[in-house]
Amino acid sequence: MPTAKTYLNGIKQTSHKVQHPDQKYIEALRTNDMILVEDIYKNYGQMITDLVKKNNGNAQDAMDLFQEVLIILHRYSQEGFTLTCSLKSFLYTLCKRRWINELKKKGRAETLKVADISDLNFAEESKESVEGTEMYDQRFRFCKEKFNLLSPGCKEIIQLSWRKQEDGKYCSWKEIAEELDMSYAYIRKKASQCKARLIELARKDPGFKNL
Amino acid sequence: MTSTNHTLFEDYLRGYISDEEKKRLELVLDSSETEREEFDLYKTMRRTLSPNIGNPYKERELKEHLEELGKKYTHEFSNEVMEMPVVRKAGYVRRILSVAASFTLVGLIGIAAMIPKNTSKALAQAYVYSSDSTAPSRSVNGDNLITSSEEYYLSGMQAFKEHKYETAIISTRKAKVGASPELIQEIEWLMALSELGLGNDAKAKELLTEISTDTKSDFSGEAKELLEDLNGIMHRISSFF
Repeated sequence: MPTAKTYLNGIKQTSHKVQHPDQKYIEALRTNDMILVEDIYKNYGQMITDLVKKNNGNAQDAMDLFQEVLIILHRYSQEGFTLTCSLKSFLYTLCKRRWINELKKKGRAETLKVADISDLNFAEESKESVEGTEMYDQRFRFCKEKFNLLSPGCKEIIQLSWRKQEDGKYCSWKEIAEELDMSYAYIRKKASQCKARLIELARKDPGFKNL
Repeated sequence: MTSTNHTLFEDYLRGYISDEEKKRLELVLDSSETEREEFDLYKTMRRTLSPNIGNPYKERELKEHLEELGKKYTHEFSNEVMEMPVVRKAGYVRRILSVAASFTLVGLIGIAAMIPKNTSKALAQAYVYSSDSTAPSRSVNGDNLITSSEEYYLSGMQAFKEHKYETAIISTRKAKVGASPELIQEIEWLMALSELGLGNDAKAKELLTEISTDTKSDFSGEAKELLEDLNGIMHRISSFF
């Protein structure tokens, strides 16, 4: 049976995967390195545009899809996402899968024209990273949906308690109490209640078992 | 489970907890499945949400930058077509198949040359020129002042005439915002033709069906006629080639 320590170390366990050299782009998305982020557009934007245009979409749809995927990667990178394949394969496969879902929603997936040999190679190479990212996105949307159900006061307290300062440390309860002009004891109690509410909201949703 | 445990979880994860409290909590987590599940769920939510919720400005900053890049590259990408890299596998059978395919292609091109041109692009251009109401030079609202919707519509019309269908679609989308009901009819018609010009027959048919069933639209008759052309056998043969 896993102990509390193994649960605590769970976050660090993802760091054993072999990084692809394209991890630099993931790092760029994490740190908002605008030069490298533009390189992502220059190098792969056309590929995604062609993919979407061949399949009932236009350049604007492609750019929207591309932006959506890069935002997901930005979020996932904060959690320590490790890219184990080329960014090209990864972006192509992830965008294709998301675009298929989009077409399915519109009832037009039957016209998809993307299955060729390079497509299959990309899918195989990037399977692990793509599936991990999709699971992360699903988890993120689930958690964010529950967070959005909280009262504005609760959201503010949780936001402050999870905010990291420039030195990478979390704000202390004392600092949070000062910022909100409330007592230390009240803030701790209120934060506890708000977090308990957040967990309760998640638990009530059957989807929490898939997290 | 008491509500104070969540603050304790937080302190534990931050490392702001005394050794005695830490041991006590770990003992509870190891012995109670419910407590462990609660802690695990808390940890998952914290790990998932804290970077986003704790520092929303970072994501907002990136979004703004991506939107700028999107605007910058949409036009550039819409005019180019880049082929996907194909993994080549040399082999005897593959070579024979390539030669056979080349002969078949030459034959098909010959047949295609004999078939009257009835492609989506040709149909779209034919219909736009047959319609007086979509002449690009006319003032849409009859006034001297032109609204931004009209401006976008006219630039979309111009792009369409120049066969820049992607740009035409973008302009018509912008034109729809705040447009008058009469102008919306014209915009929707141009949108349908642009989708057709782009080769998105399915999308074009969807829009044309909407127009054709709208009894108030001045274009319902033309939309019906165009739909019939699109569903006709000659168009299918042309599209195939």
